[in-house]
Amino acid sequence: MKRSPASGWAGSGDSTVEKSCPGWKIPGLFSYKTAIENSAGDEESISIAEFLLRGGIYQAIHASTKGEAVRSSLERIKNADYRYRYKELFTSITDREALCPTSVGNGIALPHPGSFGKFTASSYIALCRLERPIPFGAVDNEDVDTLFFIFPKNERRFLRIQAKLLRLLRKKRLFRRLDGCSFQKSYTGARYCGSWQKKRRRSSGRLTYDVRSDFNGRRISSAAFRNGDAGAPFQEHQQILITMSFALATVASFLGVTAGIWSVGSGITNQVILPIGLPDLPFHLRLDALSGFFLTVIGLLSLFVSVYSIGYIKGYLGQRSVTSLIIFYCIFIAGMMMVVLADDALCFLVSWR
Amino acid sequence: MAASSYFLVIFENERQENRRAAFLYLVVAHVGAIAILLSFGVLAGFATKSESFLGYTFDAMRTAQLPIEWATAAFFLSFFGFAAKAGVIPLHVWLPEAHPVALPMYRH
Repeated sequence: MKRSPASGWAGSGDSTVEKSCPGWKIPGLFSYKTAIENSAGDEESISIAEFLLRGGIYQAIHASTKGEAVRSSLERIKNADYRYRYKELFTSITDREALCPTSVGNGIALPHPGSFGKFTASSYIALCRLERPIPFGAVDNEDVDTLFFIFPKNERRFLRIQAKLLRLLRKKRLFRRLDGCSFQKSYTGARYCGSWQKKRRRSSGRLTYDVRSDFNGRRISSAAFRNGDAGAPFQEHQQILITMSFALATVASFLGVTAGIWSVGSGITNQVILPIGLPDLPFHLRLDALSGFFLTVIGLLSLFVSVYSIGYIKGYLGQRSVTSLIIFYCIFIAGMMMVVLADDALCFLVSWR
Repeated sequence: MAASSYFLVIFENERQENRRAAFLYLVVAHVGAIAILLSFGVLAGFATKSESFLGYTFDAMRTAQLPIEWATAAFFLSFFGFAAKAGVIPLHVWLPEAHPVALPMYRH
């Protein structure tokens, strides 16, 4: 990420800029005089992409609560900003959140300080994406994983940025493509912001094309991204696992129903001593009419739940691993059936637990 | 059963209320299991084969002859144990917490 001398301001030996924002480097895409000098008239013409360029994009921020999210985001953003009073800013943002959560739905929130102008001389936005969604008190009760921190220099600026952002966020597709895009790490990230803005203006020039080729490889679904997983082969594997195990559970439940109905109908009591358990107390199993009745009830229930689960669990594909769910589901069904079949205290307690 | 349904409740474990609900459920289930175990102990103590572990089979317990006080104790212990798991009124605290957060088809 090199400053291009052609961008003018750096080459002209503007030492005030150099002093006030050490390490703040921008690719030569925009009119940096407007970005730095921030007269009201100039800021009016700046787009969201330019505001983002000033603030930066930060991926995979680790947090499990709201406060933690704000704190670790601010720590990351701190590197990019120069007029930062970190603790005051943190209090201001959390106080504003306490007043009313700033989430706007779809997993997006727009945290900002309660009072403007105190913390920054020029407005900017920082996009922080959390490692995983956290509860935020959103209007739609959805967890939030995308935080657009707005640092406006005055109220008018804030309202304008908010309006622009909300309009942009209606286009989910555009927004999702920010996945894997990082301002700090790579020049491409910043360039991508540029194309984002350009696209908005419907001028799909060479820049957009570049970005496409850069990002095709990296454009993974946000879900797989969160999982930190490769995506397709993993999902296929899980798909097979879901179908196989729930089909087996269905068959097992059906057998349970059959056995239950049979024992109730015939009234015959069957007893089995399994060769597992304690040396002096092997597992005793007993199927009589009463346990047959309960076995039928449990079997019918798990039969339908297993069939239903095949479709339902697929909704979690790509979001998280369902292996644990399947394992514990099967243990759970087995436990329920063993409880009614048990004929000694140990066997009962083992399946009860 | 209790342990595996604990893991089913915390499947969506990034929400704090899920973790809380699952923990509460686990505590109630285990306290209940202890009560059931105690009632089994009472029954097995009076069973015919109480000198060996075979007193712990339900066959032996079915034929046990209990004095009325011990029978009452065994009844209340097992009633408490099963009621805790079933969510009978005074022991139902875990139910409204765990049910909304469990996956819909596993609410039992």
